[in-house]
Amino acid sequence: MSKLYLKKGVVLLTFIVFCLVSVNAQSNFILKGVLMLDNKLVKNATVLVSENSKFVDSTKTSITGKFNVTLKTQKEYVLIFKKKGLPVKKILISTKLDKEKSNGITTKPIIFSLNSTKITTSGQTGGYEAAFAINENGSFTKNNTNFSPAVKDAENNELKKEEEITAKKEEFKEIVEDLNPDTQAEINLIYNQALQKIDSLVLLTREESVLIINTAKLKSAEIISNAYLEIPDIVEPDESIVSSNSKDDLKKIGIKDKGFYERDDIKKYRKTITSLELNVNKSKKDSIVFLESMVMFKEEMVKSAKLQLALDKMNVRSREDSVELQHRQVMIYLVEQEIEEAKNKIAIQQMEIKNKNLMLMFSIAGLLFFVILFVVVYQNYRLKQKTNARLEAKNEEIAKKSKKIIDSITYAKTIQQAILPIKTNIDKYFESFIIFQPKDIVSGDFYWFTHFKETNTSIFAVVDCTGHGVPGAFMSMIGNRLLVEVVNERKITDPAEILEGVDQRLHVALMQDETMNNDGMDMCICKIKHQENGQSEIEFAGAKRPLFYTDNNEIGYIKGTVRGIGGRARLRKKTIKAFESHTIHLKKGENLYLTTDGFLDLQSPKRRKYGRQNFMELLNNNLGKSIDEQQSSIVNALDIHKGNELQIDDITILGVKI
Amino acid sequence: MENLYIEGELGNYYIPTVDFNVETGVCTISGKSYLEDTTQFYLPLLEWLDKYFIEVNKPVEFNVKLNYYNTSSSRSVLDIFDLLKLYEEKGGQVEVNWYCRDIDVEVVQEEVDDYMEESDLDINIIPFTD
Repeated sequence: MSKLYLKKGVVLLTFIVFCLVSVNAQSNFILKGVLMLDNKLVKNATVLVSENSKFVDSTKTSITGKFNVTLKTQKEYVLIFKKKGLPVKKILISTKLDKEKSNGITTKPIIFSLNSTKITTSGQTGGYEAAFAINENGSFTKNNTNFSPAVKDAENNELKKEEEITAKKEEFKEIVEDLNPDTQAEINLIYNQALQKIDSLVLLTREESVLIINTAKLKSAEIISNAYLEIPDIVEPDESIVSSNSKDDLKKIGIKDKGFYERDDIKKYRKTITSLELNVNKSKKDSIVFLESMVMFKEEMVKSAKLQLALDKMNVRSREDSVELQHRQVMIYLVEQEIEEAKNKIAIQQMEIKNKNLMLMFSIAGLLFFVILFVVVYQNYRLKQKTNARLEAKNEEIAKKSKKIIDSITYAKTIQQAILPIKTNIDKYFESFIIFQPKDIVSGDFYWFTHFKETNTSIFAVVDCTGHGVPGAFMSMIGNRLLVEVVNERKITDPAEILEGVDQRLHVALMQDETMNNDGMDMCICKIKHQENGQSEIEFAGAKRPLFYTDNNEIGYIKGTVRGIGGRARLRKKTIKAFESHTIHLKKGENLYLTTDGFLDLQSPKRRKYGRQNFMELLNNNLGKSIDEQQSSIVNALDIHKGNELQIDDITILGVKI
Repeated sequence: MENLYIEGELGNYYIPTVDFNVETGVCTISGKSYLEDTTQFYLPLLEWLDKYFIEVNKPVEFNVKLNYYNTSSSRSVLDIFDLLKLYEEKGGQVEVNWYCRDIDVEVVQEEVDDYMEESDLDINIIPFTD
């Protein structure tokens, strides 16, 4: 029968329903079934159960095509299978029993084949693909089926043949009746004998063929349903991947090697699987290790199963063998699917862990970065605050000290001012101007004046001490004191002698013979003595300083001696140049100018010194001008020459009108 | 004996650049000289020359390229000239050059004349165009 189907090459939609029925005390039982299409499991198909045109149960097939429905005894049910893209199929189930069974009912697997192209006809099966009834043994059997055109044809052919035979028999009787009685009797005897033989043969053939067909059908159905029965139940992929840890699994997939579980690697996998099974949902890491072990274990299983399958294929003897191998292949395929699924799961979990780790790392790095940033910024801020506070304190301190020093020096200036000649004192005897511009608050320059009433003699000096500011001011104090000592106390009035006297005393005062001190001063000194003829006798001596004067609208110039006062130079000299006095006579109204080097050495922004020549020209331009005009003219020239340049030396110019 | 080099500086005070070379005997002081403690600054220069005269005892070319010096510095420069004169008198070969801008020759001439008079040393004025 099956061979006939295959030969015809008809595409079959196969519903295989095998039923495992257990009847409980309340006559309820669960009917288990598997739905297949073209040797493929039909998953996710809707199974509806109706009784007396009312739906009583509904379910869906699992990915292995399995489904369970609860039925009651003494009823008639219709099972309806629906799936998108497939025709709706109906099956009639009768659970009517003559006698209720209280014990569990075991049914033999039933095979039911349908031609997918066959149009469901009404009739005995009432539009149903097939009808099943429970028998007295509690098993479901095919009841009054008309499931295949081939079966129908075979039955029709038999009827036709019987009719033909009857016709032939009548024809034969008519022919025999036309014969003589002896022959008739003889022929009838032979005929009857033959007929008997034929009948018995036909009967035998019929009985035998039915028996063989039925046996074969039952056998193949049993094998196939057994195989499907043993398909592992993969309900939902999310639930634990089938734990193939039992010995039965090996049998299912067709591994005959009893030592499979004894292999070291397999032992290791199974140990890992068993130990981690409980942690799968708790720890992702354990879950991965579990899944990996499972994958490796199943891969080994598949490998062995495939090997066995290949070996068994070579030894196929019967159709049963071949069917069994086909089902094993399905099993292997399913396990492979599981492996694939587990691998995906591993990949996903690994990705999750990786992402999680990455996120964690980023979070930690970010946090660390912020902590460090915060610490750095905070420390910077603290440091800045501290530094600022310290700087502020320092600045305050410096400002305080600076103020103290400036106050101190400013006060020193009043002392220095006090030793300088009072202008009104000079005014008693001369018209004069004094340009006194210290570089700092106190000056290294100073001017000096004294008058001897008894001889009507005046002495002017302009002095440039080494150093500026405070050191210069100290020197000026010494210089002032020494001039007083030499001129006022010793009554030495010759300018050259005065210079000598100051020089000697300075060496002593600064202990320059014993120390490295090189300080001293340049000085120009004039002694003015009024004569009775209205003229004045001017005696001049200079220590590196000259005298400028006017004489009949001309500017006169006397260079001083090239020798300073004080300093070590004198120690090295074999012969010390003597200071020279020069005497000139000037009429009333002429001018004398005593200077330090401040103005002449004053540099312009272009680094040019004012110079002696320019100064003499300036004096020349001032000829005939009043003493005040001369002063402002000189101050003006000085300012113009200096420009924006800093004054780097003290400036003193004393002008006297005789 | 090592070369003496002091990098010049223009700040609150003016430090001249000092470049005394042992190998060539060329000693140059340039820039501006206006110092807080002039004696202290010039002392190593005098000591270096003293040492050079004793240890090296070779001709000296002394160049002054100062465009400003105050009264104190002037005294220290004179100290150097006195020392050079002493070396010359003892048989050392000394050449002193005073560099100045051609436009300043007139002013510098007077100063140099004073130096020559005071130190009894020959000083060449070498004008240059700025």
